[in-house]
Amino acid sequence: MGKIDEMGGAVKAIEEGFMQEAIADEAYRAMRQEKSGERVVVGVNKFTAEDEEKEKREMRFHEADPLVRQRQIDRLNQVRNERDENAVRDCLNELKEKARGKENVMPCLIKTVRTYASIEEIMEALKEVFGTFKEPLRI
Amino acid sequence: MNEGRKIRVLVAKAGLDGHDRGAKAIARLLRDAGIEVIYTGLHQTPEQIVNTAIQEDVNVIGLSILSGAHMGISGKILKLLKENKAQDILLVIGGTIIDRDIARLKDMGVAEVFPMGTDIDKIVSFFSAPYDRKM
Repeated sequence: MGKIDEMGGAVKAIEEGFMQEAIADEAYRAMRQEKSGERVVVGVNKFTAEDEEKEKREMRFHEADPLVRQRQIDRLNQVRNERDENAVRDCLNELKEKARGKENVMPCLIKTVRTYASIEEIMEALKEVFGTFKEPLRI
Repeated sequence: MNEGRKIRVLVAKAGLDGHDRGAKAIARLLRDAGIEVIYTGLHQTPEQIVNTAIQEDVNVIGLSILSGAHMGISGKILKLLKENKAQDILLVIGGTIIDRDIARLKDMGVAEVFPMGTDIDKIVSFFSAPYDRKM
């Protein structure tokens, strides 16, 4: 905690990748400890089922219908063709305006959703105002 | 590529899959094994991954996928590598890949697949072996 305070608080620590690095270091340590047996994970590196038993258990996997994707795209296009484009645009502009200020954006967000603006369009509008977080890349 | 020269690996995460614990742990594992590792960060498109791989002149793309989208994304990356005449860059996949898909991925041209539970020594030895695999 003292370390995070020294860095200027939790937000600063995240921006600089301190937390992410600490988590990743711990994940790496855990992986090596599981490998060496120092850290016991029942069913993974201790008391594991024999291969024979594994073979007996048959797993069935769900296979997604490849047409689902196209159907959803078609539906999205249909919604886009049928909605009131002016209302969508006005709401997105209003949302951006509200996002720049201090006001609660939720009522405006709900109004925007009701015009059938897509999540992508809403996200892009908010990104224009807030930008996106770029995680510092350290290994 | 000359034997003995260090290989360079791009560890990549694609799409909306935000599970980077494994990717980062593997990046550290390879780094500690003396391999040059570059990490793309989250939410990359196949185009971004292939561009980075070419710009950074890597030998292998190590793609980590735990979202189930491995068939589509791998196909796109392989296609883009081909279009950019960069088929000498190997594609290796790690993550939650079921047995049935391992064979499918390899048929597509993926060089190796490391599903969940793979012994980490196996991964290190794959990347440490003399680099003579061509597709």
